[in-house]
Amino acid sequence: MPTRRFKIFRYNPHTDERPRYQEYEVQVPTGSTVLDALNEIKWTQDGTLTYRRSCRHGICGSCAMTINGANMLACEAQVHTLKRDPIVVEPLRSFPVIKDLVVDMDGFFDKLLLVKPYLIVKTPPPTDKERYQSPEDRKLLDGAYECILCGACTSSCPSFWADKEFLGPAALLKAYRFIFDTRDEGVQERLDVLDNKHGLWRCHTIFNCVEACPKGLNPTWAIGELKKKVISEKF
Amino acid sequence: MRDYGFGSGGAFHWFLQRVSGVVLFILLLVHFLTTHYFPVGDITYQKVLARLSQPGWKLFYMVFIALGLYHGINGIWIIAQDYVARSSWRFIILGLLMVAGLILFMLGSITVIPFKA
Amino acid sequence: MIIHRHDVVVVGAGLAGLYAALMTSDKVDTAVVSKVYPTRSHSGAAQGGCAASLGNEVEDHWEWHFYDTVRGSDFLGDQDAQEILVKEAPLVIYECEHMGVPFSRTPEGKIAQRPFGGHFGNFGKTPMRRSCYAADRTGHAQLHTLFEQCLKRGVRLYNEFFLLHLIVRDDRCYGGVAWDLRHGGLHCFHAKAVMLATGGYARAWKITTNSMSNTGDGLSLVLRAGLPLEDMEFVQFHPTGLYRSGILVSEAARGEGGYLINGKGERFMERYAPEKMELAPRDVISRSEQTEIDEGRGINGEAYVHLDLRHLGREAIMEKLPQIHELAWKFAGVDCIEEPIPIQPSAHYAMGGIPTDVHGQVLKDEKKTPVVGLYAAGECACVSNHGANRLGTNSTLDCCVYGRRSGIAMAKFVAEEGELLPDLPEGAAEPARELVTRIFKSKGKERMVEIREQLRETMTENMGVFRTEDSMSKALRVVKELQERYKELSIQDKSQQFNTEFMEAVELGYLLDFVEPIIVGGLARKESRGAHFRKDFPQRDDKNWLKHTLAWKTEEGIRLGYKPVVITRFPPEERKY
Repeated sequence: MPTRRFKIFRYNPHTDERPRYQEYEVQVPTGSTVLDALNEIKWTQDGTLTYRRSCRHGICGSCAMTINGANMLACEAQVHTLKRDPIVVEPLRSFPVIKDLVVDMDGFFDKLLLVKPYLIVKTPPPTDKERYQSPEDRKLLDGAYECILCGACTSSCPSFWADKEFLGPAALLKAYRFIFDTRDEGVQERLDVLDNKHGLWRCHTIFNCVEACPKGLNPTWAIGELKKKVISEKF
Repeated sequence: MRDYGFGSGGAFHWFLQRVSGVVLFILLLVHFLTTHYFPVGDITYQKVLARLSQPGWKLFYMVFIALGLYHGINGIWIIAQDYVARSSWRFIILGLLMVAGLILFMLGSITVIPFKA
Repeated sequence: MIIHRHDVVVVGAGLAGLYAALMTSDKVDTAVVSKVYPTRSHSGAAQGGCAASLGNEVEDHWEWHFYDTVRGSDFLGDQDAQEILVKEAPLVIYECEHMGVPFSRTPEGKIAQRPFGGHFGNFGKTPMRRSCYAADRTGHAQLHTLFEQCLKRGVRLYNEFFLLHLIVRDDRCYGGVAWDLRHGGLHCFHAKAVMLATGGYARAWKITTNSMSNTGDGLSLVLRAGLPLEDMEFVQFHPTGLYRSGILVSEAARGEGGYLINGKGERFMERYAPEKMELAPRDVISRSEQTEIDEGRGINGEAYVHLDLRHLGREAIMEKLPQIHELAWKFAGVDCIEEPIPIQPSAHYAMGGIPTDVHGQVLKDEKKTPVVGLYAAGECACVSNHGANRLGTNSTLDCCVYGRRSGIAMAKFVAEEGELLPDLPEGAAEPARELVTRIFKSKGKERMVEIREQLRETMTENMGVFRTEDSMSKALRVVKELQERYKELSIQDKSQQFNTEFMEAVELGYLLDFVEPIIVGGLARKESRGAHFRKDFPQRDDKNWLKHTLAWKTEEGIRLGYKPVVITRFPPEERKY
């Protein structure tokens, strides 16, 4: 069975003075993902290795991490596609490290809350049926509602690295998902939050988020649409 | 949220960056065509002098200088924002950029405005 | 130890838990305790849809949905509960839409509906478009919407808190003790009403569609509190798990017209369900697949068959089944537009669970005596909506309808209780403290991975689609032995912060506890019904076994009891598809 070397970031801020990298050699049967390899290490070599995981098929968003320098979900990263040896596994950058590959996502979720990530409705919906929405209007949400909030995009964004108050691509994509929902009536409230130095305008169209998104979404494009919306309302 | 940089928001600068880009493209085209491609006969100092003596062309170049400086300096500032996290450093960089812009604008002005045939 | 006091504490942040929290949070002080961030909950992995007789695409009636659910459950479901489930289905779907779930739409703009296995029109006649869907990410869309609504209403969320102990004394629940995963340390949650919405348990099988978090925590905590579990022997195997990994390929793939093909290139469902073919219920299809595989008609004689979507065409696949396309590509290396997908039956869903009444209140015995202040809903609960076999799209529905009902019931209960929070019983947190000390201090020789993997292999091998006296007895022997070995378990990571090894050790303890009633209940039930199929008793036996199993954990092992099935409208009949 083929084996691969993994070089993994290890750090417990409570007990370690500084982070270090630890190397492991793991058997990787065909089809192994990085998550499989991490499990193999944790279960058979080193029980102290710590990371988040749950669904193992790319829908829960727990296991986003930096693998060979790029953000991805460990459960989707097929080992055989990773050419660099050893495979370097690190926590999502620019989020505080809790332990090893586990980062503090609270700030990330706080940003989400700022953009009012829920349908805002002023006219009460019909009591005994659904609101109608044409398939074309519904299509506007494709590419936005699929976000799994894994944080890979925001953590890959240089503008976020430099400005921790930046809302980041994930929160902005969420804002897009509601602003372009024809059922929503909170457009202005949300635009007021976005039209800000740390909001839309901090995005400098770097496209890292697009490359990082494991779901193939395009936050940069969505942010562009939001910028156009603000400008067309202002000028 | 706390703010630093050009006033608040950012929408205006984002918009102006794009508008100035488009306008600069047109101005640049006019400048190149009139200076290098379609001068009547060979280009000479006198001909340039004659053109720049006209108030219309003075205005043209003052707008050119202003927009060019705005566009360039705003571009550097935007890049700087992605690399410089500390607000004190940001303040210094923004200050330096603005001072540099102002000096360059003055240099441009004293070149363009006094021209006489 | 830090003590948190709330009116209502919901454990688990999937669809059922969050729906309940939404129902209570505007009336009483509500907290949600979850071992993961809410959006990581396994509800998000639900793909195909949520059933409701809206009749948006073709004529439909709740009675038809009712009949399908009863027949799907092989007449073991309680019909009073099932009637509520299907009657309230349109209501919760509309409520979900009003909250913002991005459902796919019909050309007129109504919620789109697709056919699904086991759902028919006119009392079992024609395939019915009943599953309301958001492409093939319905659970994801619902989960995120409910989470967003909780944020909006400021529900207190305790994320990454892991429940270790349920405080139950004299038929009353006082709260629970949880481990703060991030910082380490015990926190006591003291509440007037506690709701368990801890989800499923299929991680006890080697081949499973479930998240790694689905370790049946709530079920084992209930057992340890001296309360029974109901109908645990009924475990659903999903017919289309990806070969080897078990990752779920939605039934929507068959709803939209996918074929099942064996190694000889035949649509083998012709032999087992000539009328309904691939739209037969899951238990029927999983057995058919397993039979094909066991009789050597798997693909190249291997343990899998093919799910063929090619005839649907690129456009339909990308529009209606985009996630299937993505999953097949990422995890099986198959482009389902060009090639068939290798699939096998995969442990998927717990029909049984914590017995509750139709208001979500937990029941403690055959006489349906309620436990005051303890509620349960979703997959961990057994009302019983699904009897011996659940229909696809009825689970997210169950979470919504019964999560909602539990929430309403808890708000009412808390209002009636008055201001005073009953005092915590003496030494309430001791068992949790002992558990923590035991695991951290243990110097035993046993390693987690060996015990767990042996358990999962045993369950897949012996408690799978087909069972016999021998296989189940063997499983019981192995489990008993593993339970002993578990006592000698030790962990390497002794740190307090984010100790996932500690969490896995506790979860393994949960796995070993709840599998016992599954096996013992299965051994006792000498018939085949729904998902419980015994080769040595292949017939359904209504005379002796039309009843619910209850299982208690005692010093001497599992004690079984039985209670009657509630039949209000549809008497048992032969089940043919």
